[in-house]
Amino acid sequence: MRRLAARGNRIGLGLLGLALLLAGAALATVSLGVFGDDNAAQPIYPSPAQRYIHQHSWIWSLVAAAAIIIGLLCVRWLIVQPRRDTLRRIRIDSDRTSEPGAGRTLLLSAAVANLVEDELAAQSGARRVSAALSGSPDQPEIWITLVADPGADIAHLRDHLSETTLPSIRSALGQPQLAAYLSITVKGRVGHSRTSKHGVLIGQGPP
Amino acid sequence: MTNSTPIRMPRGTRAGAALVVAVLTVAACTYAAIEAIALATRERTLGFDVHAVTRYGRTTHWDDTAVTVAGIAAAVIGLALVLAALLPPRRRTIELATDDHLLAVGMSLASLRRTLQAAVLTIDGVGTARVRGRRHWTVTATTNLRDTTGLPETIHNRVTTELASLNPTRQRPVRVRLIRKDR
Repeated sequence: MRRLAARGNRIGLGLLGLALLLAGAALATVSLGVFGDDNAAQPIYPSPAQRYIHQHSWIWSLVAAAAIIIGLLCVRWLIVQPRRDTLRRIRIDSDRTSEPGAGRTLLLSAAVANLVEDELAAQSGARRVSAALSGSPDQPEIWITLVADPGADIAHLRDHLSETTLPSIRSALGQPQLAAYLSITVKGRVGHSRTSKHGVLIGQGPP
Repeated sequence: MTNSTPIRMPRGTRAGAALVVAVLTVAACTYAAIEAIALATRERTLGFDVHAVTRYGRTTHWDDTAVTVAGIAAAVIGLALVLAALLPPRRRTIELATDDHLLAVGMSLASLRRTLQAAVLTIDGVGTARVRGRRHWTVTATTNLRDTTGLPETIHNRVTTELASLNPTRQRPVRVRLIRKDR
């Protein structure tokens, strides 16, 4: 459901990590005198570099531009974090020939998601259900989040999805390979759940 | 997806690490851009000292301890980030097995504990219950009953039955502690 964000995070962390690792290693090796003690004793901003940069002050503009670009990329990286990969339409069939009646049939994915939500929400113990489709229009996948009561029959809810809801959705869409991901959260008060340490331990199992 | 390998719930997205790194990089880039603009225009920008960085560069040598420490720290942080990118993040949910290889079901540890807790509380004589555990499920229950013969076994069976119906892909043993509370 958040594959794009996951891939972006992996690339971002990898690139920044590699840059930091190389820069840090270079800094440490020069500082520790690996390239000679004379080099290590030099100031990090020596006079020739000062003169060169003084004569070419556009270098600072270049540095500023690079910092702004990297900063904006990181802002975009932050913005995409909560974004989910959702699919708006599913392709039911596609006939691109020039014959009469040819064309594509698309279905709004919200219709499928609503159907799954209504079907599961009608089951006992289901408190809240949300569904969304992602993937490609040819090979969609459905992501379902179910919030259930503590006493709910979770196995029944799961089995209802796998034995009733999903087969009918797959059949209706003509997608026998439709993959589904169900994430279950149990919320709510579970009676008097706290145990007190005051008491006598009378048994421990299994025997 | 034509093979019959069961699909699995996805791993984490490394969002926490990404958030921290992105915020710190934005802050560092903002500072670098302001300093660079100040140096390019040779003017004081937003209160930043134009020559602070160049003065530091002129007076600091490569073999200064601060430079060595900064280099090592940067390399260590960089290595940690590379490892965070390369190593697969851990799964945040406990996966429940299904007969449908195209359906993946996951439940948070807290949710599964709560479900087991609710199951234990349906047993007559159990006053309170708490379920803990990562490698094994430990159920701590209290009772007011004087005669508790068979109650630990009943609790154990109830939890085992509940786990059997949920069918988590990783099985863990169940332990029961029963505490008698005086009225």
